Amino acid sequence: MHNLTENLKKITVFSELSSTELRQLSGYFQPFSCDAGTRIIAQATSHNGLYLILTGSVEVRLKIFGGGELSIAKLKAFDAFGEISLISRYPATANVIAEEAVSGLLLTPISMETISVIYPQLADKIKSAIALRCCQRSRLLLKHLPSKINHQHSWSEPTVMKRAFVSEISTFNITDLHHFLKTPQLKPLPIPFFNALHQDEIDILNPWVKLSVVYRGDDVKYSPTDENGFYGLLWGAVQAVILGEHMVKVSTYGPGDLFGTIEYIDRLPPPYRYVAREDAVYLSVSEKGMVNIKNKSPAVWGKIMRLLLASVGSQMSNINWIFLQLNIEDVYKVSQGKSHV
Amino acid sequence: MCRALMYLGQTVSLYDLLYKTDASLVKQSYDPRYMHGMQNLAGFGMSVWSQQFSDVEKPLLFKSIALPFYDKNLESIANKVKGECLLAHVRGMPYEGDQLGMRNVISQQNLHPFVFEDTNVVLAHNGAISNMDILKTALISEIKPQYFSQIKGSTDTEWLYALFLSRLPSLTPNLKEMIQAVFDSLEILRNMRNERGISSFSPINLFITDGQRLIATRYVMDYGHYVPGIMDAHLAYHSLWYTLGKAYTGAGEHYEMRGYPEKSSIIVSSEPLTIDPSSWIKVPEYSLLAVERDGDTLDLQIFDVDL
Repeated sequence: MHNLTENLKKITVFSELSSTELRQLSGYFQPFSCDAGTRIIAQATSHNGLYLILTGSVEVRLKIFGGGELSIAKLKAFDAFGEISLISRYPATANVIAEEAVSGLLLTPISMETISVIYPQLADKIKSAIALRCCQRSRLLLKHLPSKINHQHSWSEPTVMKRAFVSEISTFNITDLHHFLKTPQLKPLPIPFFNALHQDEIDILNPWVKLSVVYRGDDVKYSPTDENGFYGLLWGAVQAVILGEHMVKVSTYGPGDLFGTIEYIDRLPPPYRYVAREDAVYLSVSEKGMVNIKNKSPAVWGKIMRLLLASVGSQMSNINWIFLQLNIEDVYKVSQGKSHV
Repeated sequence: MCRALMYLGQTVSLYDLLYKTDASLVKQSYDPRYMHGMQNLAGFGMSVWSQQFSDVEKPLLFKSIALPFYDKNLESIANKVKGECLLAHVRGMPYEGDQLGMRNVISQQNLHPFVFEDTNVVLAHNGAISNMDILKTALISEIKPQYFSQIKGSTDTEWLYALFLSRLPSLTPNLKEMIQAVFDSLEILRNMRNERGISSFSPINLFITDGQRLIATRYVMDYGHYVPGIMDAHLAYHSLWYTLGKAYTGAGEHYEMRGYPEKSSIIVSSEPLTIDPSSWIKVPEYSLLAVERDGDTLDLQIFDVDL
């Protein structure tokens, strides 16, 4: 057990855990082993959890657009891979193949959920560390992204114009989340963010939510009250874009999607601009609001955090996907060190 | 609703494109992977350009309301025919009642792709334009009489096709003229909606080709502005993917575009034709993709659609 906790401490996402927490965590790993040549993780499929190699080695390979695979990393004893699966259900972004017979330990998403119930603070710490790693990698990839846009992917500069007619949004009551959610247009909608919360939980959230409107073509802007906050889109469309010589469309958000989550987790400036592609209503929750929600109801806070972390995971997956497809060789350059699958 | 596929490039078997892969267009009729709560069982249509044909500029047109996975005629044709350009479509319709003002009429006249007399430009659509019944009255004045008289079905798409053709300066347009006609048509539609206070979600993924060039849009008018009773299939931004390379080849169900960065063949599709999407690229939202032959190479461009 001592050896295991020592080894777990070497893994980046567990490095901030105390000895007690590492001991609590160690009981949830299960053994795994496979023969040389086994495909442990298949690109573009769901994967099983965080793998810790104890003996043997694996190769991380990217399937290249146009056929073939590129080896990008070799991992050996006490390296880990697959941690993203603990916060996001998005498909793996690379293949992991056993170079030689491998034995090790596996922490599955189901075990992680059990930890969330028994040791919620421990689970939060681990997931936050994984989310932070996702943010770091996302920013690294985004830094290189605009220069990778070439003629084939040349998205012309937007010429966004506001619409000439009065927006439907003017008919909404946007002073209060409760009232807003009762507007006829929203009633039938399966908005994931609110489906995850019960009515009484929305009551807890409501005082700390600010509803705002952004019109087509305008940027969603930070205000002092929103500082270190995140957003949830309720109506309309917002697109995350990087504007340079060309426009890179990173993500498009619709009702129920969270955005601004990378900067909420890593506390750095937004990695891209958020432009309204349609008139939109969005909520923002500040860090101060989250602290108050946590004090009032750790359970509601935990639910919101899980949605935030999943959003970060999906952002990274999306950015990774765009990057892979734009320039496979550069992934090798920015992915040195421990692989992130 | 609906799924569509366009191909332009080296000669390829229709069977390989339509049937062979583990997420082929024919499979997408009953098991679409990127569209929830709906199947595409209201018919199949395709237009094919082939050097095998007597008139290489005219497409072969095939439409049938039979379920494509049971249609032995389609399977037989696909097995025998090879082509250099294909636009194929499986139609999805609401199961009951009207949705977004669409009448669920199953007939050959309503099957995509649409092609009118005297032109080789064909069009198919994955999406639905809301309140089309209201807009049709206004659209009459924007459609040339020779195209208006050829509208036979009840779909929003056929009207959009007539509107698009009416914006073309000739029956044999170049790519730039085709792109401009798409933008003009969408702008007319947008303005008509604005004037009538229509601002509900309307996905308009268009697939247009004349056998030599392709245009596809990934565009939703008023995305995120939903109406009560909207179908699950319409909640997400409609998907559009492409894969580019030398040739679409493989064995068994394991097909993929190989030979990139050589660019002599392209598939543009509502969703990847393989379960593994590693060799496919998403067309960004609010975009128009245009492809044209330049000798043996394909020239591909993507434009922002902001109307």
